[in-house]
Amino acid sequence: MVFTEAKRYFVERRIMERMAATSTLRFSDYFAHLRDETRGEVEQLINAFTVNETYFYREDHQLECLSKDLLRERASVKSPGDTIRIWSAPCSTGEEPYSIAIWLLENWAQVDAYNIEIVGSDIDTRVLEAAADGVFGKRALMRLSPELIGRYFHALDDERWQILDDLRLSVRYSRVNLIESRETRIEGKFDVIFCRNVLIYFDDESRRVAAENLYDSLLPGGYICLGHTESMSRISPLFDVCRFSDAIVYRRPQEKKP
Amino acid sequence: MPEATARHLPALLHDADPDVRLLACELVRTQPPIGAGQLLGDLLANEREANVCAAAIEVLAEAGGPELLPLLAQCAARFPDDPFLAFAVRIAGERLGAQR
Repeated sequence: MVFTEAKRYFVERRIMERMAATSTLRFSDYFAHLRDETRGEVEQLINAFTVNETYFYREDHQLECLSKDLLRERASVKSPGDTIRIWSAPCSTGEEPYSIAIWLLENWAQVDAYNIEIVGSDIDTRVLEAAADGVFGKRALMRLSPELIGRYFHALDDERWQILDDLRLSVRYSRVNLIESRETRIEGKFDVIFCRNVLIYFDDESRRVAAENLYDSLLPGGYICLGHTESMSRISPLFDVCRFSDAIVYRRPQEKKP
Repeated sequence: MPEATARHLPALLHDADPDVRLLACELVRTQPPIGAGQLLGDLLANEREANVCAAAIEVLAEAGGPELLPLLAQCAARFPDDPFLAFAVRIAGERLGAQR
């Protein structure tokens, strides 16, 4: 993440919040607290800086592209019963990985022919806990029809709905920093990666490193979807640009046969 | 976002202020590729500001198709003294020409 002078207020506010939470009155004391690795404060500070605004079926033209084009192509190099791996990184509080699961159940006729594995990863451990809980408010569900909500959620009260256990337990969550290759590598290779609206927060060097890690996390011929204002062409020449009817996505090229 | 942006784009791409047209080119990136190609193809055919053309070409290099290659060549020909635009057109042309 990169914070320019224009973000000074944003940074100051979060540090003040953490100083209050840790009962440290002076910045020098908080800094010492932060550097004491046994206290886990670095993780708490990182959590305070992440932006977790999202909702179900956000940018659903990419989900349309997933079921119409990307999975058709990935399935064409697999056999029925094979695993198709989809990575939502960052996954925030789970709206994206659960959206992918619901979308495929509703819109991909071959969903039962393959073993679909969905992994959600984020650097923020608080959101990962929330994602695993799978409890959402009205705003997160605003783009889902009442029928879909009725089919995949149960109401906890007037304001909160929890995703059904079958779906909730089908998504695996993990903490990953996209610019740490030793962390991304652990997750293995994916057929499709959704990496939306996070690279915009990185500086150029971190963006390049993240793009290389994402490239390594894709199977040859695998696809990556970025946010609608992001362009991989500006970050890395490693990927092919693929223009489908609903979205532009990027592909790790197939390995050349010797 | 794509739906909310779409209805404003034609007017923004014809705004009298070239800075507005330039920024609007970037907003076109939010549109489905076919629509984006049409919007920016129309702009590129008549745009007089090299910087606006460069912004449009960058988006078209991803959103456009090989059918836009003649339009890119015409655009480069309109600005023979602008080496950056010639470079941008060449790169975009290579990408569009190599499309599946």
